[in-house]
Amino acid sequence: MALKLIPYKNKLPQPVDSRWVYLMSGDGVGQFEHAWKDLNEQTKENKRGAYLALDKLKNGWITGQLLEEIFDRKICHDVHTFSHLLKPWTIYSFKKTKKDVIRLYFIYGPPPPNGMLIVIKIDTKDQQKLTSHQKENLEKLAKLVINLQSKENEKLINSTE
Amino acid sequence: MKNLSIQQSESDQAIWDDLEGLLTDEDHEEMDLQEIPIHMAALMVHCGKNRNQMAELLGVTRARITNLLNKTNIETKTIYRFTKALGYRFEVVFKKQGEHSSLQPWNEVAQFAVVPSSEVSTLYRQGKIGSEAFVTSPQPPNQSRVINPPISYGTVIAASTQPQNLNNLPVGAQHHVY
Repeated sequence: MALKLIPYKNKLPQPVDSRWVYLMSGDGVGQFEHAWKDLNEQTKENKRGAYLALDKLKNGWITGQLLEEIFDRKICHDVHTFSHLLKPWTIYSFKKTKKDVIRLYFIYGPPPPNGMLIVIKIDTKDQQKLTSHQKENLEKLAKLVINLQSKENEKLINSTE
Repeated sequence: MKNLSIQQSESDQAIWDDLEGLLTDEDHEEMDLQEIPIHMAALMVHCGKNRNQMAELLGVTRARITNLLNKTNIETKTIYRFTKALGYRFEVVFKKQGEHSSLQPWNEVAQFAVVPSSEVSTLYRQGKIGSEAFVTSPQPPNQSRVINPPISYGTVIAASTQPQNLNNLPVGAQHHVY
C-alpha cells in the first residue's frame, strides 16, 4: 500500500502556484485514520464546512506567509511539536472560524516551510486540548509523510546525477 | 520501499465535485470574499507587523484588528486606512473568471530559475539552490520539477530537460537562466 496525498482542488491558477495543499489519503500501512478518510466520513454539513476550511487554509498558504502569523491564534496554532530525523517538526490546528467545529491538522512539508502543506487529519471534536493519545497518533501520521518524502527527495537527487 | 504517491484519481476528483455540489451560493461568495482579509493579513506580515503593532498604527484595539481580519464584509474605507498605514495603497482590479490573480507585494520576491535537470544536483550541492522538497505538481507540466529552497519565501526553481515546457510558470515571475 502506498502513502497517497491528494491535492486540494485549487479554484483558480494563482501567481505562486507551486504552493499546494495536500490531504493525506493513505498511510502506507493501513493502520491510521487520515484526512481523506475523515473527510469522506463526515456528515454533509461537516463536509461542506471542511471544504470551506480547506479553501481558507489554501488561500492563506498561497500568500507565502506563515499561517500562524496570518491567522489569529484562535484560528491557527501549534498543537504538538516533536523531533524527527534530527529536525524539529510542528503539527498545527486550523479552523475556519473561532467557533467552527471542523479542525484541520497539518504539517508544513519538509524542510519547513516550503511549497507543500499536508493536512494529515480532519476532526470535528470541539475540545480545547488534544489528549496525549491523540497527539501521539498525529505524530505517527506526520512521521509517515516526512519519512516517505525524505526517501523521494533522495531518489530525485540521485536520479539527476 | 513504500511509495509516495501524489495524484488525484478520477474517483478522488468525483468526491471533490460532490463536495462542491454541497456548497451554496453564499458559500461561494464567502470563499471569494475571505481572500480580502487574508491578503490584508499577508500584507501586514509582509510589512513585519503583528496584530498589536497594527492596532497601534491604526489607533484601535488588538481585538478590533483580530475581528477585522476574521471578517469577510469589510468596508472599503477600512481597507484604505489599513493599507495606507502600512505604506501601501489598494486598487480595484477586475479579472475574468479563471484568470491569474495579480501579483501581490509579497509575491515580488519570487524568483524562477530555469536550469537543466542535469545540473540540479550540482547547484544543490554548491548551495545555490535549497533542498529539493517535492517533484510532482500539476504545474509546471511533465518533465519539469519544482524545487523550493527552505529559506527564501516564494523562491522557486524549476528544472526541465525541455525549457519550453516551463511556459506555464506564474505570470510576472522573474526568470533566470543558469
